[in-house]
Amino acid sequence: MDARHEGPLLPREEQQLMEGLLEGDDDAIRALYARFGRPVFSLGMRLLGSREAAEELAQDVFLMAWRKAARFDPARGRLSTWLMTIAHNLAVDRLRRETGARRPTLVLMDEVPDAPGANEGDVIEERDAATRALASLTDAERRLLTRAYFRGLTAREISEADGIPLGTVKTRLRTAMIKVRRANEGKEMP
Amino acid sequence: MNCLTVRERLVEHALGVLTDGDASSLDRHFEWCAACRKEAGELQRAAATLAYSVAPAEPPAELEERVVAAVREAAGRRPGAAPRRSRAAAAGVLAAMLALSGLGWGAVMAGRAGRLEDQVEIQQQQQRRAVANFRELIEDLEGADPANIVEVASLMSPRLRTGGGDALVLLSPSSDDLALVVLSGLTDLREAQFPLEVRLLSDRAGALVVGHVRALDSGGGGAISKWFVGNLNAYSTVVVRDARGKVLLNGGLGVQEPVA
Repeated sequence: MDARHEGPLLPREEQQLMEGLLEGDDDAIRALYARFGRPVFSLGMRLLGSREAAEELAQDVFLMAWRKAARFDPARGRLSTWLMTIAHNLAVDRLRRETGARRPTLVLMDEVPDAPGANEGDVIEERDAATRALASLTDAERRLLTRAYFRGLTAREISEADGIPLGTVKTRLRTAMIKVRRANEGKEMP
Repeated sequence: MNCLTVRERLVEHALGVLTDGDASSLDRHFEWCAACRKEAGELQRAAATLAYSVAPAEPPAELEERVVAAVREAAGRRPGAAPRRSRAAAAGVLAAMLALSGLGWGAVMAGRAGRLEDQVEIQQQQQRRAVANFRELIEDLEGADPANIVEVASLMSPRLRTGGGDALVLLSPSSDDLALVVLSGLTDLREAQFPLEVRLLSDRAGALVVGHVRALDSGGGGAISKWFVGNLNAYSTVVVRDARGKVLLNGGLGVQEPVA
């Protein structure tokens, strides 16, 4: 399997990678980690706030990917989306379980000058889309999405905390997500 | 749940902030509604972009080895000691499924409901409750591996006739995997249609027979279970056929997972 080349994986390569992962193939696990280990760890660090928690998250994410590998269908979405959705779900689940824990201050990529980057094609493309998405949002929209996506607050919880009608929160979330979605349209589809 | 209601919740679904029950309802809707599934997939791709927007952090060099070792161990698992305890614990799971089969109300009411939307809604309610019951039970089992994953399926008749069922697959990294299938409300079968055959299907691994059901109780209910030494995580569909091979019930296995 040659999935260590730079640039986004082709759907066929993504499929092969997941088949290798399912079988516990060393090369496949390492190829997957080489591409997505850093973004998964970064998500864990920024959401959970400690290296230990981020390392645990990374292990859990790749184990979960192995368990669900047979379900991955490149015709329905990219591996980069699939894997980071798993990572986000696991991280937010953990946040919700640890209700008393102190939350780290969320740091987004455009707030850190000269942040170390990844060389892998999928990640560069995703980070470009993320940069466009962040740039398209107003401060209020960014705060709203941050609370929902990174803190796991429901629209109702935000509505109650801010004293804003639920419908208004939902409308604002939708508006913000439409902008993120537009920023995504520049990404190459498989 | 109709498309209008689903569309109102798609953003929250993509952001991962719906309750498990609500998310499961939407996932069930996506199984048969291609338009909502497509919309959900696009929103989920957008949401995943946000995950890439956090400031990068450098993982420790040794993390790769730990991840590789963890996945390799899980893939080449099956030590001999764990199954006994898990099997004893799973007797409780079977008991709960049998209790659920006695309820049978979801399938029966779905069969009586006139409108397609009502039928689907009732089935979704049944699924929600089954998911909650199964999960709670598995989590409470003494000695269960915390890394276990429970997948469930709500089985429906392709022709929306009376009858339904639930399936549960327990994927365990430390012991054998388990498949349990409960049938209910299959009251209009003729003797010649028995035995019923229950299979798990996989695009890549083909079909795996869970077992045969030779008779049902007066409410059209029954249950079957089987332990598998092999790995069941390749299987995504449960199908129940009659003796002639006609599909009576089927359903897709899943935990709450990305639409992608």
